[in-house]
Amino acid sequence: MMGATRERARWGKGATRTAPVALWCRRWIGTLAAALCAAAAGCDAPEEPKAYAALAPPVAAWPRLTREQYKAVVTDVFGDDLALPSQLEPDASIDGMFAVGAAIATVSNRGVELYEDGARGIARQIVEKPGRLGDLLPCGLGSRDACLQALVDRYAPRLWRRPASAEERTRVIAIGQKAGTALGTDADAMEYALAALLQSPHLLYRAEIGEPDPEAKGGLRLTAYELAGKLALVLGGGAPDAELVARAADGTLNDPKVLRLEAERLLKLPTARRAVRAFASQWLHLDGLDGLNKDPTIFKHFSTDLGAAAREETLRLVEWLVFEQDADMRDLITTRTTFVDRRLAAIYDVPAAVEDGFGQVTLPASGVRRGLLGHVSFLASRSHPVSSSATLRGVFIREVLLCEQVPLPPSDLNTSIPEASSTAPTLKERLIAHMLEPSCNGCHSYTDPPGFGLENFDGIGRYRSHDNGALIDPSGTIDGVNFKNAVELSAAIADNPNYRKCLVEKVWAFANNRRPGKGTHGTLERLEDRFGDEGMRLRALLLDVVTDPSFRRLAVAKAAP
Amino acid sequence: MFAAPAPAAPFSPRGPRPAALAHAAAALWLCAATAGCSDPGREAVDASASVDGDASVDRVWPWLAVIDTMGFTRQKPIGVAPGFDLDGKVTTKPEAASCKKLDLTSPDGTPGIDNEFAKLVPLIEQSGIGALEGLIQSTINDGGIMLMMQIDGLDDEVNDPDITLRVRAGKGVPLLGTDGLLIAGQTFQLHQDSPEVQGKGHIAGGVVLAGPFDILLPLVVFGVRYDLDVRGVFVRARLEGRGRLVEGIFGGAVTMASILDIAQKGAADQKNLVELVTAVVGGAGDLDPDPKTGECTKLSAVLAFTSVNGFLFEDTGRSPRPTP
Repeated sequence: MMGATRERARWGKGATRTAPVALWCRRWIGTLAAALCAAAAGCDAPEEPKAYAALAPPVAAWPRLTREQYKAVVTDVFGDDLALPSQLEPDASIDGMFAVGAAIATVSNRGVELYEDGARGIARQIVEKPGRLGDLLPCGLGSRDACLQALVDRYAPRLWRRPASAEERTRVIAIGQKAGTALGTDADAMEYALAALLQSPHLLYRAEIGEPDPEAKGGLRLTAYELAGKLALVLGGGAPDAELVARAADGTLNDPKVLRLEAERLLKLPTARRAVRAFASQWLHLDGLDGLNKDPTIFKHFSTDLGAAAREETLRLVEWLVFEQDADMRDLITTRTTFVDRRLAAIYDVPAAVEDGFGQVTLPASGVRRGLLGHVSFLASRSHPVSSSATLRGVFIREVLLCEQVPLPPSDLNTSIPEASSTAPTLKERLIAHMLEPSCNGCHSYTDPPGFGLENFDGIGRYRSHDNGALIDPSGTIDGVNFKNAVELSAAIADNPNYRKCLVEKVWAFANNRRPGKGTHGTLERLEDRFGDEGMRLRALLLDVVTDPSFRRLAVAKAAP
Repeated sequence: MFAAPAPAAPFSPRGPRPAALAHAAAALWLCAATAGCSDPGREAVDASASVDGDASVDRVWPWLAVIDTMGFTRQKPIGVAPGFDLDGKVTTKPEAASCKKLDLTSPDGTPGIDNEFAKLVPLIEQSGIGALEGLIQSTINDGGIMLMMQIDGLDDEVNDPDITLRVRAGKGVPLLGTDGLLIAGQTFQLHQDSPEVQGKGHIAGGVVLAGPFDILLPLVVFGVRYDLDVRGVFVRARLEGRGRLVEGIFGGAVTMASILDIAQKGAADQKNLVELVTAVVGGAGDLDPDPKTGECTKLSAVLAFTSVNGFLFEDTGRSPRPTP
C-alpha cells in the first residue's frame, strides 16, 4: 500500500499527475533531455522554467526557545539524567505553533524568576554529580580561574550557540570567582558560573543579528554561528553538536554545499526524531491533549491518560512515516498503519500488538478508519465533552490541514443547533437544519461537510453506525469532491492541493519562527513544487527549507524615525 | 496442573454432576476474609516492549466474549430460578437421589432446574457475606477471574444447529472503563494453564446453548490461586454482535469436598471461616448421593453473566511481549 501511495506521489505541481518518469526526466536531465525523453517514452513536452517571485527576507526576530527546546539544550549538553524544571515561562502560540509564537514571546518577571530557579537547580545537580564536569571539578587545570575559563569555553558554544565574547567570558568568570570566594569551594564557583550560563538571554533567545550577505547586496544573512544554532533547533530540537559548532567556527557553514551536508547529517541523528515530533505536535495541535476530558457517563473507554496516549499514537505514526518509511506525507492522512496501546486498540476495536506500550497495527481494510482523521488525537480533541462535533472537526481540516481561514462567528450569533427530533435525529441532520439560517450558513456550509464524513466516530473516536438511533450518513462534499465516507474524505483531503501547500507553509513557519508573508510567496511556491517533485517526503522538505536562502537571509532593519 | 479433568461421561441421571460455581463463591468468600493477601498472580509488565508486529490485512479475528459481570441467580419468586436440568429428571417430591432437595422451575416455566445454590443466597447474604458479589466483581476487574468464550463453527448468528463453544481462561490486568467494568474491544492474554474445553451446542433465535462439559478454571483471588473444578457445565446466553454474550447463565456442579478444600485453603488459619462455610454449604448438596452415607456429594449452582467482546494476543499470532 505504501508503495502504491508513494508511486502516486511522484508528481510535480502542474504536472497533473503525469507519469513519474516524466518528472525524473525534468528534474535530472533538464529541458533538452526531457525533450528526448518525451520522444522516447511519451513524456510531457518540456515546460518553460518557472519564475518565482524574489525573496524579500524578513527582519530579525530573536525567537525565544520553547520550553521543550530549553530542556533539550540542557539535556544535549549535560545529559538526560537531570531533573529539569517543571515550570518555565509558558510558550506563546500562533496558529497553534509555538515555534511561530516564539518570535513574539517575552519573559515576564515571574518567568525570569522561574528561569533563574531552574538554572540554579540544574547547575547544582551538575556539580553535585562527581565527574560530570570532567577535569573541571575537582579542578585539574591548576587554578580555579583556569577551570572557570575552561568551563565557559567548553559550554558556551553549545548552550549559547556561539562562543562567549571576551567581555561575556570575563563576566561569567567573575561570577564564579565571587561565589567561590564567598562560599569557599570550587564547586560553588562552578555552580554559579554554570547558573549564569544557563539563565543567560543568549541561551534563551536565538540570536538573529546577521552579517552582510555577499550574495545579496545590501542584505544580511545569519552568521555561521547563528545559522548553526538555528539549524540545530530546527533539525535536532536542541543544542548544536560539536561537529556543527566546528562548521560554524571555521566559517564554512554559510557555504550552501556545506550547509546541505550538515543538514543531511543532522537529519540522520536520533535528535532529528525529536525535532520532527516537535513539529508534528505543533502542526497538529497535539499539545492540548493532556487536558482531554470527556463525560465518563457517556464515553466508557475514556481514561485520564487517554490524551497523552492519543498524542503518542500520532507522533509515532509521523515518526514512522518520516524515518522508517520516508513516506509521502499524504500517507499520514490515508494510511491504515498506526501505533496503539491496549486502550487505543480497544477504542479502535482491533487487536493490540503488545501488552504494554505501543505496537504497530494495521487497521482493517473493510473499516472506515484511516490515518490522522481516524486518530483519537484528532477525533476526541475536535469534539465536545459529551458529543462529536462535525464543525470542530471541519474547522481543523480547513485551518490546520488546508491552511484556510475560517472566520470567527460574530459574538451575538446564536450558535446553538436544533435539538434532536424525529425529523432530524442525527447531528448531521441537525447541523443541516442549522445551516438553513442565513447567518449560520456562510461558515457552517464551509466547515461542517468535511466533518460529516467523520460522524461515524463518536466524541472519543469509537466507531458507530448510528447516532441517536438513526443510521448515520457520512457522505458529503469538500471543495467539489464528493465522498461517501471517512475513507473517501481522507483521500480527498490528501489529494487536495492545499494540503501540500499548507504542509510546506507549516514547515517553513516552524523552521523560520515566522508566518509566511508576502515576501516569501515565491519561496514557498518553489518549495511546494520541489516538495511535490520529491514525493512529498517530509525529510526532503525539511532539507529544502533549511537550505533555502529564506532560512538564512535577513532584511536590514529600517532605522527608527 | 491445568490439565482438564478426566473426561466426563455424557450426562446421565445416574451420574449427576455437582454444580460448579458455588465452588468459586466459597473460594471468594473465604479469601475475602483473609487479610493481607498479596498478588503473586500478577506479572511484571515489560516496559521495554518494542514497537513491532504485523497485523494481517483484514484477517477475521475469532470472536471472543470475556465475562465482565457475574452474579448469583436467586429464586424469584420462591421456587423459580434460572438454570439447567443437570440430572435429567424433574424432582418434585423429596427423594434420596437429590437428598430431598426439590428442583426449581425456570422463569420460562421449564421444570427440573437444578440450582440449589440459589436457595443458599439469602442465607449467604444474612450471614454477613453478602458482599460476595462485589468481591466477585472486583476479582473480575483485577483479572483474577477471566473467563473467555469463543464460538467456533458459527455460520449463522441467529440460528445455527451446530456450533462449538470453547471456554478458556485469561490472565493479566484488564482495562476498565469509566463504569468500572471491562471495556470492550481490548486484547487479552491467554493463561498459560488455560483449559481447552469445548462444548457442542446450537443457536436458536439468537440464543446460544452449549454443554455439558467439564472444566478446571484458574482463579486468583487476592493473590491466592484456586483451581475451580466444574462439572457438567451448561452455558446459555444471547448472542449480540461480534461475539458478545449477554443475559447469560453458566451452570454446573461442584463437589462438596472441593468446596471445603478451597475454604480451608482460603481461610488459612481462620478455622471459624471453615466452620461458617460448612454451616452454610454443608448439607446443601443436591446431586450424586454417596451410596454409603446417603449425603449428596455435589451442589448445583448457576451464575448469571454478561460479557464484552475482545481479542486474544495469541489469536493475533503475536507475542504480547516480544523478545527484545
